[in-house]
Amino acid sequence: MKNQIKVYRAKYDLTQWDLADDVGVTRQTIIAIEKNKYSPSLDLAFRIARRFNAKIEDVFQYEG
Amino acid sequence: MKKNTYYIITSFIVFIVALINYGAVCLNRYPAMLIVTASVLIAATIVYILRRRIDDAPVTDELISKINEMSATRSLQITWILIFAAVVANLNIVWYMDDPVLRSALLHLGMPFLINLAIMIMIYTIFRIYYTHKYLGLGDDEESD
Repeated sequence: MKNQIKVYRAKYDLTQWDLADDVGVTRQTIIAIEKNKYSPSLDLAFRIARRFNAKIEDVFQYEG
Repeated sequence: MKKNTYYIITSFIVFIVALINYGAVCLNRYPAMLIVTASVLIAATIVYILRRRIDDAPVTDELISKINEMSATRSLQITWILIFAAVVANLNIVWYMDDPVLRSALLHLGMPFLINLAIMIMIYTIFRIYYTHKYLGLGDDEESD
């Protein structure tokens, strides 16, 4: 699964620490998601998308 | 509770358990074994409860939980294979010994390993049933009829 978290972080001027704090996870988790090493749960994906005021499909793209 | 408070209390608990262990070793009596086991179990329970009360920053999240789950599962699988292999190998060696007294003594020594193995499998099965009911909720299957 690809994601645009880095782009959205830049747009909202957020560090990985800020985003991790806002969505209630550790920074390591944000790093793993950004590097596509870990696919987040649906719950966390929605929280991240909501933080960026974006639709979940704009932030995460499924590669079948 | 703050994370630092948790670390301070946990260190204090570890120190107390170490003191109890030292005292138990100095006593060198049978009840000491029970005291050591009980102290470790109680300490682990207290630390677990304290950990759940930390509220300033997440100590764990879904990725850390997944890593812990994977590590625990793999450790369990490998450990019980190793213990089973060791027990079977030892029992085979002991079984064909000529000295009946030594054979009996060693067979008794091997039993705790087998009991540990059985307890591990039982605990695993109990948790497996518990989490199957918790997450799969087989009773709620609408299409089972």
